[in-house]
Amino acid sequence: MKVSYIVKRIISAVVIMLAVATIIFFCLRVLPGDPAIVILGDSASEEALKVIRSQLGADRPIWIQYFDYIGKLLVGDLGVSMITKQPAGMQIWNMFPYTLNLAISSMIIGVLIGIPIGIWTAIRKNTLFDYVGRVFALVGFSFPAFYLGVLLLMIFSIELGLFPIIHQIRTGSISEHLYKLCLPALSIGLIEASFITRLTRSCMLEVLNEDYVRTAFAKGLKPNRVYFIHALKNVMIPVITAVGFYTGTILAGAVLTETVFNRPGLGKLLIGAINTRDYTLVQACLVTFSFIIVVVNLIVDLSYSLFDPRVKYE
Amino acid sequence: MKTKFFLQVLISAIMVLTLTMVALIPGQAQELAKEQVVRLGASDPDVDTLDPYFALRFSEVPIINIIYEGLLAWPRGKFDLNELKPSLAERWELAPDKMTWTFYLRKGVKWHEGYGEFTAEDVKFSIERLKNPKLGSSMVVGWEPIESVTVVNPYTVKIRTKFTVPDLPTIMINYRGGYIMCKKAVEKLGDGIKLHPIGTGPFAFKIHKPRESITLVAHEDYWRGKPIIKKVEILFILDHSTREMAFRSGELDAISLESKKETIDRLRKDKFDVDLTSPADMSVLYFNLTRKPLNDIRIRRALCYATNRDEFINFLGKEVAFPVYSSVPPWYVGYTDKVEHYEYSLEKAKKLLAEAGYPNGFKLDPVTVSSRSTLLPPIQILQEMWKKIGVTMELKVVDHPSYLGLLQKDVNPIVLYNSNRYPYTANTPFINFYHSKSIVGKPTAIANYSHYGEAMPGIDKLVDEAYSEGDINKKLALWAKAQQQIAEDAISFTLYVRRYSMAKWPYLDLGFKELSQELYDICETTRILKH
Repeated sequence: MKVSYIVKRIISAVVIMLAVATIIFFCLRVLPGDPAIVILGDSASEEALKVIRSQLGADRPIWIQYFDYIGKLLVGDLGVSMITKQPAGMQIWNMFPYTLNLAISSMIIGVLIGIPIGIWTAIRKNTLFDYVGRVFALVGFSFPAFYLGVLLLMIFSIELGLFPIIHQIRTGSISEHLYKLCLPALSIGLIEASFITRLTRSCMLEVLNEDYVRTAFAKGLKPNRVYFIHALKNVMIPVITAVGFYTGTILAGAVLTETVFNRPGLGKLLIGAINTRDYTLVQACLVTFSFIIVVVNLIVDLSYSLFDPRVKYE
Repeated sequence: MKTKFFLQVLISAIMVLTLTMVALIPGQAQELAKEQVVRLGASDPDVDTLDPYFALRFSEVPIINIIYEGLLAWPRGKFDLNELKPSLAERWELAPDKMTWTFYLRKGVKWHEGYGEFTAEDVKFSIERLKNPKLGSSMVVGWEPIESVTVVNPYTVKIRTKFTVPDLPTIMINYRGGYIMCKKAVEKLGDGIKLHPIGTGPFAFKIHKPRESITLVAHEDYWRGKPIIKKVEILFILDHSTREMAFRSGELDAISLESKKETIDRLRKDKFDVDLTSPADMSVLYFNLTRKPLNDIRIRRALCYATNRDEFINFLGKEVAFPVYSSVPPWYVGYTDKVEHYEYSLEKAKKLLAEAGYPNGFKLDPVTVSSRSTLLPPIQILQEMWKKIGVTMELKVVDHPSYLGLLQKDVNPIVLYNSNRYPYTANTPFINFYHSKSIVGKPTAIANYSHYGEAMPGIDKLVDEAYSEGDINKKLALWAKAQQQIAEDAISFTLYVRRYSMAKWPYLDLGFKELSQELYDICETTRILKH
């Protein structure tokens, strides 16, 4: 049953991605701007622009370009960058680990900070701890990731000198990777933590008012057992869903965070591609982003049964 | 006794000579740092290409300039057409027919990565590659008069022009189409040459990490001498504040700056070396003659009189920007400032508007403008200035690539154009912005946004005549006349030149004074002093 559910979800994911790819393709063509002008400069002659458009295949009818693009996409070919002439897939593959590291580590930070604070602020409702936790959540929620990034750089790099400003990785050592991941991951992770704190707190408060919790307390169970065994499982379903949805926000945050910390990654790749109207690379990046979101949502769906045995996959 | 005296004199003479030599070579006595690696922070997100015939980005040009060379060269750190020096060519001469140039090439110049010796074949190949329409390079502008390139022997090349071109050496330089490429490398690497350049310059390409950095290493066989710097790393850091923070922390030795007074003052206060350079960006306002009421010369002149250049200069800082009046940049051959300046006068502007039938002003069609910091604030200042004479305009802000695309579609009644202008002859701006064949929308379009030469008689005749004129004085006179006519017709209004700025740590000794470029040029004599 579960296998057929996964197959169904994969088929629907493929359909979603084809729809996304189509929307991306046509939206990009509607945007003003011309990769040929980017390549040759704004004082290039129309004749020279025509030669470049022809080399790029940008002078072909849009439907031919579309079917060519979709045909290649179906066999996993993301095309060749219009500007650098390098395979888009290869460029994404080179950048993917950096963004993945950032996304996963910030998610870990978010979960490790957000869930405990959320639980404790719910349990200690209307105490000093609750107020501090709520202020943290509110402040974090209002902070843009790039601004927090600059603040972290000023405190930890400029004032304390603990971290470098440039977070480019020079060697292949894991320790260097982790060291240079700290601040960027914190800048996204802290904001995610505030989001998770708020959500966990409100869910926990709701669950603590449920009859089965009152019954558990009435039966004399230890509070920690009630909170962490009975209540937490029910809190986790909306939290996991939200964390899954938050993947998109993390990817969006990565675009700015990678710029502030000058880290390589998909975000920087995408921004550069948009600025140069490198249609192929923009399409490839966005398809990759949507693929990540679809996969994360699939994982989130499948993880429900771990927390709630009543969830059935049909 | 005599011997002792002689020895004393000899020792004294040696000491004086040594001290004099040390004094003559500035900083030579200073101790060098152990690690001779330079890290530069560039303001672009990456390079798109390192093919010299396509490299246009701010960060691409300085990188190309330390990898590739031309037959002639600018003096170090200074783009000045009047001071060109021999480079890959040791000397050159013009035959009595005034159309055949012979370039005598330097012997023993080695290509990077063991591609052998630079020869006349490379010169022929490079020029023919640039001129090949299938390549589609926009840098071919100015190279049309070249008819043929003949290899006489490995170290001599003859270039024949279709007509007399007295300033031909000014394009054979280390800039745009003038860079010489390695025939063997281009044939071997194909499209790969775009991101794996092979040149003869002091530094050779090592590695490109997309969206991160480019590393160059010393070219040990460089013909001017082995570079002192062993490695140059150019890091792409788009964000200005991150770049400055990395520079201050010592992670970078030099950076390109956003040309702003407060940034420059801040860094100078902290004892960093800040250099302002030109040729730089020249901002010009073009009036679209096909849009009413801009087709009326009185309206255009009124708008010129209502534009106060001083306000722009005050906004940018007096050290950063300076006013310009001609349609040709001041550093171009053929420039003259003997043109109508349209000094700021609201009275004159209002009078002209009233004569044209708009005593209370008018509303311009919406103006599309780029969100770039070099374009949006100036046009907002202009918007406020023109309000004083009752001329209003609605601004539509778009991202820069969209702006460039829309300009080609002729959407604007006025166009604020701001671009980097390296020294050339006056012919280039005339052809690009004022010749009728360059009107946007035409198959031969370049950047004539005003429709000058079509909406009203233009300067085509003067420009064409000057192009094929062999006498340099007559050429200059024709170019001056064209500039005066453009100003008289109020086709465009040149606002200012905004210099580029960059900062470096004092320990980075370039070996010359940087007066041009957007990012420091690193050469074979550049070194890092002990600090």
